[in-house]
Amino acid sequence: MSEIKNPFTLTRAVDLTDEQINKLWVDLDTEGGFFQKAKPSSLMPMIIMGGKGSGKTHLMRYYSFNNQRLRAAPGALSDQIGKEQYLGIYVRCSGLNASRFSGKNQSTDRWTALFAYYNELWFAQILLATTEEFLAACGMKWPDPEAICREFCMLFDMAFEHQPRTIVEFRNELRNLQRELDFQVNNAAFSRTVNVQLRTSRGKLIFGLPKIIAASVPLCAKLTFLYLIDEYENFDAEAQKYFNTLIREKEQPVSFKIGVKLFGLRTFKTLSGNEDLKQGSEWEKLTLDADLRENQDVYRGFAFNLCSARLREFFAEQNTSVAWHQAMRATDLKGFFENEENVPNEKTPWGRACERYQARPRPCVELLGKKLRDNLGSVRDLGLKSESDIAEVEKQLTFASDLLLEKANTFLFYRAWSGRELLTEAAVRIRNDCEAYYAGEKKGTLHVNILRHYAGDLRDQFIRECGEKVGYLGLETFTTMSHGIARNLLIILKHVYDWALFYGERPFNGQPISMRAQRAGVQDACDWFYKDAQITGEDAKFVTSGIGRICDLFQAIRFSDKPSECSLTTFSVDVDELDVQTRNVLTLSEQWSLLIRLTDRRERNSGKPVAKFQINYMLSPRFLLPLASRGNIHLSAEQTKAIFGTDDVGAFEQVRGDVLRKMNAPFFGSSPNHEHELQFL
Amino acid sequence: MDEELQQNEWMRKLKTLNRTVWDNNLTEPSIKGWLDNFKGLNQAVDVERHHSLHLLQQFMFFGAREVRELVRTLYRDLYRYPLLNLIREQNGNTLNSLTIEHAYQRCLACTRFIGVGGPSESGDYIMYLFRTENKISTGSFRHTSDLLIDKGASGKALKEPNVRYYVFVDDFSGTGIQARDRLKQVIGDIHQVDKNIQVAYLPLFATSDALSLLRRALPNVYIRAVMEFDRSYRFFNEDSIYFRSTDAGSVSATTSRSIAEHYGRSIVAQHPLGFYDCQLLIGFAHNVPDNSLPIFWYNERPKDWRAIFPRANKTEPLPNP
Repeated sequence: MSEIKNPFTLTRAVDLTDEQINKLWVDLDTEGGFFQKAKPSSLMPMIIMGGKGSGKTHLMRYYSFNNQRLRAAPGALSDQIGKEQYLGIYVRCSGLNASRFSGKNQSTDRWTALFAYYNELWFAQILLATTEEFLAACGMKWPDPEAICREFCMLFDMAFEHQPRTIVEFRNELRNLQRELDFQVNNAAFSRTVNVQLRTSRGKLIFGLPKIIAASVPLCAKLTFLYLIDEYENFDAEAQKYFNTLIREKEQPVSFKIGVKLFGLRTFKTLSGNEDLKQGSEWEKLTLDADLRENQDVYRGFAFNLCSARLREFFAEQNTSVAWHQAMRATDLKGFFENEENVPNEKTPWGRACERYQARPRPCVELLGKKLRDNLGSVRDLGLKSESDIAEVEKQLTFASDLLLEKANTFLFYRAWSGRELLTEAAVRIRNDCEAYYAGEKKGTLHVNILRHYAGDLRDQFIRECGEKVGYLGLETFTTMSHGIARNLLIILKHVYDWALFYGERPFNGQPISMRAQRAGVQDACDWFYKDAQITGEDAKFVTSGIGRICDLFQAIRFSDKPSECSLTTFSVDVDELDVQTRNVLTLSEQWSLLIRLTDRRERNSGKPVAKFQINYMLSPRFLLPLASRGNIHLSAEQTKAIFGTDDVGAFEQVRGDVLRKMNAPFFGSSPNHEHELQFL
Repeated sequence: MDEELQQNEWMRKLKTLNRTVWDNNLTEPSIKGWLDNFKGLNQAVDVERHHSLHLLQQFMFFGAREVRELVRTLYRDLYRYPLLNLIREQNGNTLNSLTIEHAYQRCLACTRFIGVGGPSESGDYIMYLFRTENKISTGSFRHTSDLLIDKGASGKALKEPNVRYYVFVDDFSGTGIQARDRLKQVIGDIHQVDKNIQVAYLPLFATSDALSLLRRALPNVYIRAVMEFDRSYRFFNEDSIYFRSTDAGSVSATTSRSIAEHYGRSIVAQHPLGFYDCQLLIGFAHNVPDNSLPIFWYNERPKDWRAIFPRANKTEPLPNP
């Protein structure tokens, strides 16, 4: 029996202790790091958005008081907090069970008022507990607690039966009021009534208490009281409306950071005449994963440091005496994974494919020959009249000295075939250019552009045709795959680590992790991402099938004879033309991070604004898609509906067939003049 | 699904089993090492290894965590709850927890738990878990040899006359023969002294056949197992649960049996499919019963066989000097 641990097991920040939050914290290698982005001391409220696992909870817990305390040097907490200029009050919305505040024979207005009152009591207790811990940790006490309590009580519209004289007594009063309300709310399903008197108004405690504390406790005089409200998606629209109103009515010295998943923001309406909360003037937005995606170098550094921090902690816990574990730096990590750079060529997928077919005809040339022979009737017009002509074409295109160039030859030949050029001449021209390119005279050859844009696609085509597995290997690749979401990276590493152990390897402890362990781990991580999205609601099945279909289409294009686009992982669509159902499915896919919406753009010809979506790279290995985005296909409203908006498999097959027919020899139903009908930008 | 794909799937499943159930005991090299035992002496090598991999997936391994849970279950479900029921019945179906608990503690004080088997055998290990997991005082445990005293001509007497319950705890009973042979005499002696004393035999696992045999051989003994394996758990039984799944793919029961029997005979000639032909696929963190297929557990020199779940065999008693 042996319990083998994995440094990447914990992937959810809610499962971490405060100490772990602190130890595993990794900052951005930018000026000011996350502090600059999250601005915890700023009085401007902020909504921190991001996909599942993008680090919202970790960030918010890191800025909470518990971690402020852990970060401070012994005896220097007051200085530390004074320097940071805020006190982080962390509140997790899932603890409230907000769904209780609805139905049960009560009107929406009544529930809204009760919910607001409940939150006043709840937040006030957390605020007071946090402040009290802060004072205690600084070795201080409330100055004149009786006077402070008197002021606290003034925030209530009704006097307490027994006037609290200490903060503890005041907190007890709050707790009793909350318990009473809990009891009434929980039993409303049976009693059909909630018999509670509201003793204070919206915002009185949430804003009033910090104001009194700041005025009475010198240590807090200059601090922002920052409510860090996490898992906001647990609130329904009515509850969010209430919080939006608090944000609008915010009073100094209070501010809010609200952490919410992309799908979790249900409304910007407020209770102030149903007006919308205004971004920019009333709140600002931080989208964690999008921000990181836009700064790839920063994200790469962050991801490597994240991995490094996990390993350092893990090996420290294991009391490993190997010195290099302590010295492990993020930059060293690449070497712990087998990849094309650190293994002999014959071990790489490309090397294995080349070796296997070095001495015999490559599948790409053989397949091309077969297609020509099968279509001898239609290629006669293009100059190929006999078997010997076809054999000559095969001979011209064959180039054993460089199999990637040979692969490019076949691609160029398909392109010539599609353009209805004279194929005998095309083959000779391709051959000549191939030799010139090989000899180093690259400029002006047909191959320059092809290899600049299609090298990755052609390599993967070749590897697949030769029966090898396309590799998604190495930490760099995993970082790209994670697509700005730190948890995705941790989950890939967790599975890779598990497989390495199962294969009898000692990951991060000697030999690099084998390619097969990486491949198996990546497969598990991708399956988890694809299958465990757990989207709820009626449109969920359309999301799953739609994502499967678009990826299937991208794959079919990528592995076609003459892909019209290179590194294809994006599509664009005129969202305004879509029916409601299809639009909903696209929105859901985006909210669940299966699709990433890129900056909207204008269509090249018509100038119409179009939305551009990219598949999440976590899907790439499952569908053998690239981890890059160059090409783009524009989908019509009907095509988009066939992919995302219907369960009619036939409609999708029709779209797929139409698109692919034009990219696979012998190009039935298409001619170069009609290619625009494919609607590629 | 072709065989290579299926084997990849199976390897994936084995990895999951290994992580979640088998306490990370196995690695792919150890599985491959075990598969290397199958050298094509009965079927083609690929067929043998394909069938063996299928067999391995069906192996039921109870790790340390599960065994701990099971000893808690044994105490709770087979000892405490029946007593509580009895106590309630005797007290007019009372729901008064104080009355019940008080009476229960009295029963517990009059109970002795005894491991089946000799010192240092697996029974001792199970009794240790049983005591620690259920937080029972060490004073409630005895060895079989400590129950009676020999009074010569006047026969035997109980060492502790106030004890009213003797509970024999075991980890596994495959045929019931060993338990019967070990317990018949002592239980007979106890009942000889006082036929009203309650005796229980409670194994964690037992086959239905073993329980039947024991119930016949040990009348007036309360016999229950936490997990009972009926005949469908015999691997090659007609209605074996192991070949019902569609996951069996191209695996056939006949071929599997032929392979297991062939190699089983080469290592344990008398019992190629497990002792007394039990055909089980069961193992525990602390040991593997010999009633399971020997191809899984056989681990003895000079035979050249690599066990996948090695059995710690009992060494024969040393001869007298």
